Amino acid sequence: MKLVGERLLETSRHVVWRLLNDGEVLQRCIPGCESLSGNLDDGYDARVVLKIGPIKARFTGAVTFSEVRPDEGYRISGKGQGGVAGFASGGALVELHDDGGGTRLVYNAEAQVGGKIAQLGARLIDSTARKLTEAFFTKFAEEVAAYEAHA
Amino acid sequence: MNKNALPRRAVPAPTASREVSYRHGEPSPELKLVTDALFRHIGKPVPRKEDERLITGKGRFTDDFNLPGQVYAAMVRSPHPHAVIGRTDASAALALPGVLAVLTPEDMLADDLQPIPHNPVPSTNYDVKLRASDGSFPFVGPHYPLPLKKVRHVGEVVALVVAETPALAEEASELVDVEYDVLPHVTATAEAFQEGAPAVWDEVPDNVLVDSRFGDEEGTDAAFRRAAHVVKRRFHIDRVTAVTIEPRAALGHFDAETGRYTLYAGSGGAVRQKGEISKVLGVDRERLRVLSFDVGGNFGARNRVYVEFPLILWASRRVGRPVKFTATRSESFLTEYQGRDLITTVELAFDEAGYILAMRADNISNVGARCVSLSPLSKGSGLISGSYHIPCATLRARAIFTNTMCTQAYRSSGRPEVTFAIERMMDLAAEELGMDRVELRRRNLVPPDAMPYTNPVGQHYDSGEYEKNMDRAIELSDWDGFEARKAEARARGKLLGRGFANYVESSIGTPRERAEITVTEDGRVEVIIGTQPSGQGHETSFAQVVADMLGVPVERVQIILGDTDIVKEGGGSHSGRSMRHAGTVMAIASAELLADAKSRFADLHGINSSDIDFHDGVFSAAGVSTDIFALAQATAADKGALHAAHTNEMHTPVFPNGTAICEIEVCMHTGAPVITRYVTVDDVGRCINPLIVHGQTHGGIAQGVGQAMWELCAIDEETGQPSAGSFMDYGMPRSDNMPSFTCEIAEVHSPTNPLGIKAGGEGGTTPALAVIVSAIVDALSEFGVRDISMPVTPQRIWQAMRSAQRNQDNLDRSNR
Repeated sequence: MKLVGERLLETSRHVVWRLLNDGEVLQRCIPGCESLSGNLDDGYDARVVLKIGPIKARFTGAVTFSEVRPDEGYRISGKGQGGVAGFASGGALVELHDDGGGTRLVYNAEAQVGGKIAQLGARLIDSTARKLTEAFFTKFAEEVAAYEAHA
Repeated sequence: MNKNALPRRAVPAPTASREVSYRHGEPSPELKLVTDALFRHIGKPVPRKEDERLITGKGRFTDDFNLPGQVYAAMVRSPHPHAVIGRTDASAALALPGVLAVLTPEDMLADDLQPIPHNPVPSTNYDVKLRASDGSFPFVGPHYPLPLKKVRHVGEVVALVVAETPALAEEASELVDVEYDVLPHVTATAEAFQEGAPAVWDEVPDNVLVDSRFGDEEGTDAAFRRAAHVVKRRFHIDRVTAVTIEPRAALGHFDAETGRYTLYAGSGGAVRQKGEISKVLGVDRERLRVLSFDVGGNFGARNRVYVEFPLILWASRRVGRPVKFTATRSESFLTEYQGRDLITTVELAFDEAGYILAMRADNISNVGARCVSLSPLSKGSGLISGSYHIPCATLRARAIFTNTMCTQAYRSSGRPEVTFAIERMMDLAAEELGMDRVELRRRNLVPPDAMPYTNPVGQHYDSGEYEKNMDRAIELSDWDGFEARKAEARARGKLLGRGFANYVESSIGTPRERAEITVTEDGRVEVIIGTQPSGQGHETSFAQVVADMLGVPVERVQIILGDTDIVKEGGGSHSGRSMRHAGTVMAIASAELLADAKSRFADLHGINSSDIDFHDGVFSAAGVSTDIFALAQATAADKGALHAAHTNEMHTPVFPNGTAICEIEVCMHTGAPVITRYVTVDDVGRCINPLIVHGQTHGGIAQGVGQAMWELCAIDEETGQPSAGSFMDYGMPRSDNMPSFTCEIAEVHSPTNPLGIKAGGEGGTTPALAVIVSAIVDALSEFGVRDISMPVTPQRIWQAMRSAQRNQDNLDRSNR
């Protein structure tokens, strides 16, 4: 599965970068995220409840970061285990660009799934991933607005 | 159609020394009576005796059985196509109250369970001999109930959980934490034998477990050198699954007091299951009883032992309670033995007049993660030349391992694949040679006077009138009305195409079968037989045979199947063997029973047995007469029950054959296909019950059409993940996407068995793949489409139309 897209955020690259690397912000933005711990250098461990079609499962996963360029972007790689529901692995290249007064976040993600999710949910994965991405950025935009309001 | 366009080519006369296996000397007077009888029941559409039971919910399927105190098993299955199994942590599962056991490969080794002895290499005298490339016996990959070290396909069982309820077992199975070290995988047939593909088994580094060559290489090469036309194509007949309406299930019980195991499990034959599972458990055959009563569909998928069967018997011994397992539909999609998956490359050499001079074929069968059966490769290899006289041929037959579920014989094992290849080739050759496709076939058919006919890879076709089948099907299809129908369809925005396919197939099957027939004192005839129906109506058609043999009403005959404590021997049901093998052995046993009855009658009345007349179940001589039931009663005290038992072994295959024609309307705008006409003529040999044979043909057609139009076990090559795990992603034939069929039975009796039976269970399927694709290609011919791969979904048809049109447009532009 491939997921390519971009978002315009009404703040500077520096603020986007800062929020993208704030574990608490991320936990609030990732749909179904029960826990998130870690940091940019060591990576994060996460526990997320996901529902894809007929399958609902709690995934435990780890993500690491490479090609880290502060205020510009990084590459994320991750793996998640959902027990019998299956597993997912993948990565994304995230880039931040100036755009007018704001920041354009460009992402290029690729993921592979296995187990029951693949057998039963294959045709639902793309739409589910798009929906989850949408939910993430909606929440993230709110976080940006809240940050700006308090700044 | 001009049948006499060219003089017929001489086909070698049949060799005189062809043995006909059942005729060991002259038939006994009793057997002669049987074969010469004017049948009362045989050939009649007797309604099925079993239907009332089945449609009123009185069937006895595996999951209907329950034992006091039973507990439930759930399987932990591999999510990876290829991985080394690491540490298994069952502590969280075992901590749940009500979880009794989590059993792992280490436990299995500690208890010394053995691999399932599938015996996958076909071994009858008439099967083609498949060997490894160095000529040795193929390495098949031991099939332990739980895998040692590695998993080799998604869905492979790595542990089982036993718990008080099914839900608890399922929940606990999700808590079993298995570590995997993921390895590179290969799932695609075309990739597995290429340089650098990951090895599924270290023992077979190139994944090619069988590589055998057959035929006359020199003669074939010479024929190709002098050919006027050569046509070559490669086809992939992809992977499908049986989708039995009843998912597999099993109930196992170990009785500590007697040391005996009991297994309730529907299958293709309880006797085989007993033999193989007892070896897995390492116990004497008689320590295992297997019961298989009503079975909701088989189609080959249930003929081989599933790992869950020995696993639950073992689990029952470990936990001291009966253990039940019922597969979910998704588990069935993932891990029921699958069918087909053959790549075939065919090359035909023709002379100027369109006669086939020679053939080269290269068949590659994907057996999956371990070799459970080579039947599809073997059966197909013997029939590469189809219904046509091809003077010489060569064949390379390979079997390869991949990281996929194992394949097995699936309805008409191997034959739809090679029929698809030869019949598609005849269409493509006709096109390339500029000949009519029916005429091209007609020129090359094996004629009846060449029967019995030896094909270029050594198969002996027993009998058949191929051209007659073809002509009758053409007539039934209203061949001449096609152009008018096509014009009418066009006016509605539909493209009408017509498909055509001949076929010949072989039925071999396990050679031994046993029948025990008893005339009971309460006026019934009990027949114990070792076949296993899964919808074929044995209780009716077998009763018809015995009723006619013994001259009694069919209602009095009771067929007993499926309990290995009663049925001691039997080959099960597969490869169209049941009616032929059971019919033959029942005929012989009936003849023996009649001979005994005659001597009892002679003794009873003090007369010479040669003067006795037997008619309609009544013995008479010198003014006295006694019917067979009264005779059984009168002589029971002195001579015991009137009973005969016979075990027969019959290796000679038979070759059912026929023709299928269909018409399909394709929507010009959406590519959606609708079958509007489907005609078959099927030579099944002697037909015992036309009602049942027609039912078999209808189901067979639907199953073949299903593969051609909808069904596919899709696997994502990159991840090795099967992506069709439910009916949401696996299209099926249904009553609303099937037309009404016009089917006619042709009866050219086989000389290989006393009743002249061939087989009727698979002929519907065999030509169906070819005839559907033939019709679709014909419908799209005006777009320049010459071939299309299965399943021919609306999307594929639409794409074929568009890309052919684009190519044409480009061609037009460059010519301008």
